[in-house]
Amino acid sequence: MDFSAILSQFPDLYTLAGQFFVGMSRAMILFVVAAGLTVVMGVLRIVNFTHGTFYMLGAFIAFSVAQWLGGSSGFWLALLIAPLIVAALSFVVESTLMRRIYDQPRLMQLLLTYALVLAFNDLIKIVWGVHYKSMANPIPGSISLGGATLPSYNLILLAAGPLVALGLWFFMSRTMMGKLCRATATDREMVDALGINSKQVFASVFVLGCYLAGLGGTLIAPTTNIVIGMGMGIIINAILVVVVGGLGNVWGALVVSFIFGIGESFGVLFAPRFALVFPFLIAATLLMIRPSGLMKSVW
Amino acid sequence: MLKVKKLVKSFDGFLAVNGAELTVEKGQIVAVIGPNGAGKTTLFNLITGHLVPSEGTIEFKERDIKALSPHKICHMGISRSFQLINIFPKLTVFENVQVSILSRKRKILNMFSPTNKMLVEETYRILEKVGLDDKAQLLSTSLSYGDQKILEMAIALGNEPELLLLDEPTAGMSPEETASTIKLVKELARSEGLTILFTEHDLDVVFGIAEKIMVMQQGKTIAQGLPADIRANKLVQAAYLGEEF
Amino acid sequence: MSTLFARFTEAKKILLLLLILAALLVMFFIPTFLSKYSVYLLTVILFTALLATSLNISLGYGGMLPLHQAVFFGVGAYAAALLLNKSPLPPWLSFLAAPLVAAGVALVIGTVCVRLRGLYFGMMTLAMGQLVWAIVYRWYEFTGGDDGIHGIAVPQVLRSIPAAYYTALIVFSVCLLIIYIILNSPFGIALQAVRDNHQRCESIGINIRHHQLIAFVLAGFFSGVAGVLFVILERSVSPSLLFWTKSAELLIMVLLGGMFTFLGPTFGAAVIIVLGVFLGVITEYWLLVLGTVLVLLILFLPQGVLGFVKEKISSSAPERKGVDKYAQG
Repeated sequence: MDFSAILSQFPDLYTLAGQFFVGMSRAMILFVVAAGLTVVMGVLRIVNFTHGTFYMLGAFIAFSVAQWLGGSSGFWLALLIAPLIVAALSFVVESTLMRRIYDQPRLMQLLLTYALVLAFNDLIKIVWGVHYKSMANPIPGSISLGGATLPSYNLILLAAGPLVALGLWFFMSRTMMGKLCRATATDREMVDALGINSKQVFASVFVLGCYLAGLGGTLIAPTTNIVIGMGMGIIINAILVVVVGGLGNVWGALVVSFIFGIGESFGVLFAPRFALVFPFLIAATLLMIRPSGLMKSVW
Repeated sequence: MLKVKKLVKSFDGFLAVNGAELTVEKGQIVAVIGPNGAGKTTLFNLITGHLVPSEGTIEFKERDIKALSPHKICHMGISRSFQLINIFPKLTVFENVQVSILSRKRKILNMFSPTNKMLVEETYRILEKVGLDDKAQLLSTSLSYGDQKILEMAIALGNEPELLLLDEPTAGMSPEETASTIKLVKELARSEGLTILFTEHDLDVVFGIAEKIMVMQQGKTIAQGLPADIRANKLVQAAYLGEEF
Repeated sequence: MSTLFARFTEAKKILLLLLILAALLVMFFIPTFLSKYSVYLLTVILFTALLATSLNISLGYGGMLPLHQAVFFGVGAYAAALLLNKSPLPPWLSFLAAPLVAAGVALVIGTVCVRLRGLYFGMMTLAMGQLVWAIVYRWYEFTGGDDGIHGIAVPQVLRSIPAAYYTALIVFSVCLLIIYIILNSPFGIALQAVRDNHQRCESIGINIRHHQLIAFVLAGFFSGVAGVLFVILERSVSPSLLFWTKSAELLIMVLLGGMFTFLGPTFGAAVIIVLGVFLGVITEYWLLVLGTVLVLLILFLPQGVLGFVKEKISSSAPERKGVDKYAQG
């Protein structure tokens, strides 16, 4: 067998490292979005399709905020403000609609969130028009990491994932509200019996989850075209990450986001056109092996 | 007919059933009693295949059934009713029983005959026997609680079982309903030649109809025998100390 | 109860039958007096109604949560397109084979999915469905990728809107009749029993997974038939036929019409399509209107419109309000 021929087809180490970091950056965005979704699904037990819409809103709002402020500092302020605006919007949605359907059958909840997706799509069209938007890269240029060249902005993405994970961990295990969330996720009746207002917990969790969706949208905004419908693709991947990782399990979401990201970026190397297929293939395989998720699910 | 030996079932280390022994002969009415949490319902779920035992054997008609799935065990001739109401809420009373007969006759894969003309007589025969024939066309969930418990039993009868398991057939019933249900169970056992295994809280009921009693405590069989022997058994008395006995 | 007619008296039954016959008669003469566009629209309604009804076999009658039924519609359409364009099979055989391909894909996906329950079942259908979508979307040599396939070699006789309409009308009527018969057969009653209560079904000797799988494959087959009707009308296919949002639309139709009524999905499909066309003329933002209407419906009329009407006219027995908990799996 001629090994050199095989080796010459095999991508060199730098390409691999490059792909690795690109995959990681994608994985981190997916994780930020999925982390928000897993908290919502874990505590509220709702499959929230609107989550993708809040992600998309994050991107559009970030675009507007950056444009309004102008200059290179625009993005950084948008990073601060846009997710908060999304969170505020989600608060309105929760208090007017979501809280009315917590006792409805799952299918009805699913449809309500999908109806909101449709409505919001058109609202975004009304506000921002049908043409795609794009944002300036706040840190242009590229850097060398482990021998691989990588857009500098990806460093922000690579940092965002661990920061969000740590933040969520801190919130869940060290704050009163976080502890309440976990308690509500595992035993809602008990929490109610203790006289704690679970409605408030639900609202807080929903807003927190949507904040993360908005953050994900803001983070991805400078790297892609901001289009209507961008939430449709990521929501399915995020839902699958949540289900495969174990509903309500942030660490599970992190692990599965990694697997998806790596799978997709190496998929690009070996079967470029079918990279899109890999996350679904991975999700289906993992669900077959562990039907109730890789890690402990609260459902 | 049914032989359970050294049966163990653990849930994450908790031994719900830990050494259950039970022998049921053909034609017998056997009761399983014991305090709450003694493992009676778990024992039933093990026999009917809803749970898989951790250790031990379950033999039915000289065949090991412990690795079989519930629907296979059912087709071997074991049918059951449940402690909590467990019927088909969106079907009529008639359909509830009919579907059970269809399953026994292995007709549920028939896709082209209209069901409303099938097995009408047989279904009504069972409904008459339990006294629900005049309510046949009602939606099952519109029945009273007591009638739903009876329907529960009627569904099990549709399978024409050789061994019928009744999990607290009178739970939640009024004293009058309890009395008539007990009468019904007795009649059924005689007229259908059924072998019956049941659990029951009310010890008057148990000693009223059981021909043999098995007593469980903390997952273990502590006694098995004729009602009179059980009444005299010191261990059983100790287990029931403080409860009505 | 199980059927649309069940609670009606004999007289009402006959009346309903006459109504259906009258409707069919009107449908038969429609191309002679309605505009071409209306006939086209009716054809779309017919195959969409068949698609929604097929979804309801597993959803409303089987108690499963198939979140991605459109895949089988898409596979049926693509199979018909590819067989017509690339295989030596005569057209009529291609039309017959395409739904079988869809049923085959349903068998594969179903085998994996029926091991799971409730939401996990739904998620698995979503993952597997998007997997099929992604393959179709990217396999340029075979499926045409995101361009889809255009100029499908539909036989000349079927290449007019009235011809497509009559084909759709006949196929729709025959398929609905068959589905109706199946749902009222012992298989159908047992399927509803499975939907209502898994544990009880096992203990009366029904193999739930087996039963659900058969229903899932049947649903896939009829969705495939709808896909063939689509190809006859449009003579082109694209990957958007199997994107998950298409499935979400179908779920809306079924829920709007009522998932525990036989004709509910047909009704829902007709309403959504007509609404889309008329609102689409008035406003560019008709999805906003639809979304708002849906939100209101879910909050105030959760049992579906036809389910609501049925509840009002059949007073002989109390019906459970709303969508039953069992339906969510």
